[in-house]
Amino acid sequence: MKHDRMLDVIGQIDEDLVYEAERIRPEVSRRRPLWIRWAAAATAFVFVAFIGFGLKNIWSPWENQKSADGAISTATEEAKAEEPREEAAAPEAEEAQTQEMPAEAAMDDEAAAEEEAVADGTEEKGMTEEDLAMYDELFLYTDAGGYVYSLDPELVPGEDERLLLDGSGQVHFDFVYQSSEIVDVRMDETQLTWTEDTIDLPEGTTEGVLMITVRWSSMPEETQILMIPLGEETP
Amino acid sequence: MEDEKIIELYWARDEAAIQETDLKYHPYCGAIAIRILEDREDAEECVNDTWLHAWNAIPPERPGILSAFLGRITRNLSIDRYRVKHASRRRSNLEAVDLELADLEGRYHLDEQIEDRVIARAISDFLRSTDTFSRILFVRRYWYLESIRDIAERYEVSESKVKSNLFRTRKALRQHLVQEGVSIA
Repeated sequence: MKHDRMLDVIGQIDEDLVYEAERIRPEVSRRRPLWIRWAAAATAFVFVAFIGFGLKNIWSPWENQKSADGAISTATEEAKAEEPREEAAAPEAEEAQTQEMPAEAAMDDEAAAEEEAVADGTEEKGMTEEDLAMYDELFLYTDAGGYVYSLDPELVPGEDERLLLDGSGQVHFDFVYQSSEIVDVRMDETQLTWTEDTIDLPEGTTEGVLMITVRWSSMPEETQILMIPLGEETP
Repeated sequence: MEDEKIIELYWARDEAAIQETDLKYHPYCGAIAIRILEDREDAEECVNDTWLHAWNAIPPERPGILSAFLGRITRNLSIDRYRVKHASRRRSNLEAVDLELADLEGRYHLDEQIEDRVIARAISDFLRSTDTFSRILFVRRYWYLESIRDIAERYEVSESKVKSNLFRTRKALRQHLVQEGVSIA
């Protein structure tokens, strides 16, 4: 049967259906449950992965910088707060602040210099292998061709993103994860078909776990699996 | 004028029936025709032909829903005209619909001995078993031949939602047709 004929056949469906489609405006369900959970799960996963791989240390410079920034800003605020009340004591406050500054200021300068170097590209030339390795670990690689996205998983909502499951066993996957690159997706060890916006699940599937395999660039032999339960509805 | 009164005019062979029909249903039928033909002049001719076909069909027919009855005539006339006009090269919305419907038939061979009307009945039954939103999307796309974009705008949903819903409905319909013995693998 040619689909031309199907077009004609559909033209013969009952008139009440045609009438309904013309006159009735259906209520559209706007469920947005799972992407939010996915975002949370992804964040949690990355956090756990950090601890698990002992990567906490590589954040030290940034943590220190953050602390330094925080301390300086606190000191400045405190000093400002003191100003109106105790103008006479200002020199003392300044002195106290100056005493606290050297180590922090040095760290701050270092970080600023680093940032500048990165910005103008000069640091890349001077990067040691160790530096590069550390830099590398700030990114997460996927099995889907090694697309790199920020370790800090800033989940960027698409125009109309959602991850839905219905009873017929399909997942609608209009989800943007930083870019629209897709990580390796499996379903109970059955490779799913990936299309533009639909994943075909095995027949009759109404629930299950979406598994996303991730791998650290520095430890390619280690893979971690992010498991996202499907089929649950958020009220 | 009420549809029943218009139909009575047809039955009385009163030519005012055509004027009243044109007055009430020109925009509706015109929209169907222009959507398929994408040519205002052709669409206008199809709409005028629709009134003639209705005049010839009523009586003996007594349409239950006049709008759908007229719309069907317009749709069929427009598709026929489109096919004649674009016999050598298909394009645009109707071609897209054809391609989408191909996945209903591509994997099965529908028994040609079965009348189209029986298949249409099976499709109608199937559509009644689906949820309202899916049913309406299906009819808007494959009966009214509305573009994905227009449907998405009409119901304020994303185009991908429309596409995936239609995909799911077609897939379920295919299964239904097999179960009903309409299609043979």
